Amino acid sequence: MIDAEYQDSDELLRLTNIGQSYASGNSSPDSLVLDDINLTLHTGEIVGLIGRSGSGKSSLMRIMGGVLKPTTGQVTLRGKALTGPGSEIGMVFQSFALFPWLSALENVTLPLEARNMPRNQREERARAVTGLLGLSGYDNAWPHELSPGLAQRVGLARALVTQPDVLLMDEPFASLDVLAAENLRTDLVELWSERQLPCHGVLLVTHSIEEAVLMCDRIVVLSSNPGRIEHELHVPFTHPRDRESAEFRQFVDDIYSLMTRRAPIVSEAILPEEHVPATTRGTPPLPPVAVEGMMGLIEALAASPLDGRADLPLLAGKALMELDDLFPLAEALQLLELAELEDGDIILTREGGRFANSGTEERRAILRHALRQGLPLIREICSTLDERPSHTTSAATFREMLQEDMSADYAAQTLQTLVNWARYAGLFDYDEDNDKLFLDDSAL
Amino acid sequence: MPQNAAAAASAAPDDNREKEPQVKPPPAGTDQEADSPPPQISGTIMFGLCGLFFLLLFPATAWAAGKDITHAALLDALALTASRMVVSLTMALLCAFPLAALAQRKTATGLSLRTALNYVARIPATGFLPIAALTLTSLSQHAIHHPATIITALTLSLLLPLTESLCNGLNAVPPDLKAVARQIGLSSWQRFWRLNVPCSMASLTRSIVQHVPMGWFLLLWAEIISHPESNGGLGPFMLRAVANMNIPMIVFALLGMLLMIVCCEYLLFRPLLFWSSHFQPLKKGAGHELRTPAIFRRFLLIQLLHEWLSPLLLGLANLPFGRRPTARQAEPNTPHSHTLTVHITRLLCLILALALPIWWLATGALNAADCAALLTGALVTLLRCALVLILTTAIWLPVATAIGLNRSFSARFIPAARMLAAFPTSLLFPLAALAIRSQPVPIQISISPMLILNTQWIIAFALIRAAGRFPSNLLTAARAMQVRGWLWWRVVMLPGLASSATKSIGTAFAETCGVAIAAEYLIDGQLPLSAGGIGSLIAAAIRNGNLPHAITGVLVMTAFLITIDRFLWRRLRDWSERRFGRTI
Repeated sequence: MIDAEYQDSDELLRLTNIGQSYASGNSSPDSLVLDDINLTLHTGEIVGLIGRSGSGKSSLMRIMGGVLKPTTGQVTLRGKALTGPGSEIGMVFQSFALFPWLSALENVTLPLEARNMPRNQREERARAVTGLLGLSGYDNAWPHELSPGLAQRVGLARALVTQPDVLLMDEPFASLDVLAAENLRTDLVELWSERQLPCHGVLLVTHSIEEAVLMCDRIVVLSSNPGRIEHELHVPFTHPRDRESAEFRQFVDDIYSLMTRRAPIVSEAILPEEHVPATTRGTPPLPPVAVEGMMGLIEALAASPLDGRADLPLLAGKALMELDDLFPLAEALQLLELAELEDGDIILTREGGRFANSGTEERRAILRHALRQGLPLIREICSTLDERPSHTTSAATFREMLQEDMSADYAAQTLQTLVNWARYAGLFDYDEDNDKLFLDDSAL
Repeated sequence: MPQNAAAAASAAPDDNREKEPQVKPPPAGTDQEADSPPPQISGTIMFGLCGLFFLLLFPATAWAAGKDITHAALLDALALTASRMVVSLTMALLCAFPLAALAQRKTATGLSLRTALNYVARIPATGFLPIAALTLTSLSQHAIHHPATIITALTLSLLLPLTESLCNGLNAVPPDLKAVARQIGLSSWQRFWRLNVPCSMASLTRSIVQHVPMGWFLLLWAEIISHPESNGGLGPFMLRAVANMNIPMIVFALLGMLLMIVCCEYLLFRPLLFWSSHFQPLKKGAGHELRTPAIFRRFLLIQLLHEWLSPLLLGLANLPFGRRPTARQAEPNTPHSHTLTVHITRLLCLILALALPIWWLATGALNAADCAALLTGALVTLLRCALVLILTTAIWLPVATAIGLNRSFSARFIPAARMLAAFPTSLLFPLAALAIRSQPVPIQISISPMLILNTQWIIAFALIRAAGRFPSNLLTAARAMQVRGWLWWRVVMLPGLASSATKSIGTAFAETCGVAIAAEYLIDGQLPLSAGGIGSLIAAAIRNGNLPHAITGVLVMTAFLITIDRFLWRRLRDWSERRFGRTI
């Protein structure tokens, strides 16, 4: 289906110096989501974007889809500036984003209807695509009647019905169960290899390293807060790929190592020095990491087959965890200096080992020390509470402090996580009704 | 006002069913905009609709009113009342779309319109009668007694909640769908009709089901109070039958009304709710709580909408109006609050609300004593409503809990109670007046049941639903721990009901105050019975055609309701939501 005239001009989509920031509204500096992204998608390749939450993947997707205008930089499609959405780009969403009141076929024909194509013509084109994706019998099905796998096929058909140049897929398999995802991946790769997919290049956003290595020709690794291109790798395998082969495993391992280099991701997340107030420096946005999770990981690491050191991909496979679930845990331990990340491995520190072998009270003491040591914000909160005669302080102050280098949502989340850690350690407590932090009496 | 309750029971199972009086601002986000037709188009449509409305008004009001008390006259009266409802509902629906589209814009116009609508929505439904009369004084000297006024008042009282629900629906459009709609190139007009309107369809139909019963109440009361001799309709028919003590005709009139309610329910509401459940984004099977017999589902609306209306609407929705999407700048995380616009709008609303009474004071149509009477009257009415509500809640609390916990019984009880709740009690008021005259209890006390007859269902249904939703594992745990008696109420059930209860009591309070306008001044063909309070002052002023008094009374009552809501109900709601509203 690839047009002959474009065979020679290789470049499809080009991003030049793309930056994206969201104004915070008040006087605090804008939060930077994407920083200086340069990326080119060529005809005939599948490019994978790997990044974690906070790497601005969704914003980047919307910029490439022509829906969002970047704060800085330029997007060109076949050399022409991209100013808005058009039929040259198709988008697939993690949530499928099907219109619930339209049947499967109506969903697929909608992009053509928006361009006022006559009914029989658009249905003919839609049927060609749905046939290709194995949806032939489902024309009249409502989206809520479809299994997630089929629903995503409808989403895919809708993106492909305009015969776009570029297909953008935002975590398309993340909402599917393991088998359905594998099935759709295989079908997609097969159609792509046979050049049956009516598009010229694919961009796949994912958080699964294995999925990226399985499908893509090139992998771009994004850092988070703000999103920057950290690495670009060429995948040296041909389709179909054998995910059990030693080379494949090694490649996946290498990417894990890249993402856990000793130069931690945390340090890149920090804005230039002068922007960061001394109090919150070093407090990255914290996902809701529970203390039990951290303790479980430490105990698992300390136990006998691992003995304090484990390969992250192996650990993820064993614990049936996704990268997005394992990394925050590991990073939290790193932040508290209970563990270290190095070349795709997680290593328990001396303090971490002591934690594993202690009773509850001792653990609380270790965590208390680790929190004060690793998080300047905790030190700040504790000293404020000590100074005040009432031993209480408004939580909003610290939330605002955090908000200076992250969005309001992240700030609220981060403080909530800190409160939960501090509660375990017995450092301070939080009164939700009055939004106040207060000194826990038992800790006095 | 009252029959929120009817819908409270109809109830799609989501939690936001209670009347949420705020027209919420559009949420801030990364790439959202108010997708709506350009303001010029909305404005033109609005203007055209107003013209259409006046064209329709005249045939609807030219209906000759019968003076007899016969079966034929009853049918005639029923038809006239029903036609008034149909005209008003249609007009309110047609106007709600452009109004919501305008209010949803993120511009200063949209914001000030939303702010103003928030205030106007607080006016009790019965209060729209004198306001409609004021707007129509240019047409006729005695506009308040003209049938056109009744229809206009009904339209206004339906328009506001419908617009509000449309706006709320427009806010709930999933961001991913918005992104898709832009990405596949739907123009702003197409996005409005193909994405935003379908998304708000469920909330719109719920709002219709919720507010039409209230419309019946207003309509029948307005027919009775304004000028029953010339206006015709079921209300005046009832009044004549009561005055002549024609018992069979009274019974027939009540049965006629009941039949109309039942027809509404089965031929309109249930098919509508069933149909609109298709539009519930990302929710399966919502709105199926009330079973709709297949015959009604297939028969009327669905068939009509699908085969006849759908292609027409689709054609309209696909018209190439509006701009094609372009890439847009991201919006700030925290939206600009436009505090200045809001303040200016508030100030304008205040000036507008004060201007009329001041003008009337200056011209002598109103004097200081009147104002003082209205203020003390308002206090009396508010106190009366509060006492009655407290008593009602205390009675319903154990009863509703028992019903709600018995799921098989509540499944049979709710549909039947819905009919009761939807029955406009204003039709009973002439009979009530007769009854009150014939017994010794002072009228100030004996009208209390009238106040609460309809609004009690708001609380009852909310409590029944909350009790029915109460997690059964908690009940089991409580039983295992042998928690009983007062401890059971204090620790288990009351916290579980608190959030729904505070919400529904707040709504019921505003509605009861609206009912007070009708209930504190009863008409049965003899001298009117007045129970004192601001309601009776307003109603008496309407009956005497004294617009300055009536409108000032409505403004005073609205001001009180806004203040109480702001300082009592909203805080109570927020607190109980925060403290008890968590799901486990």
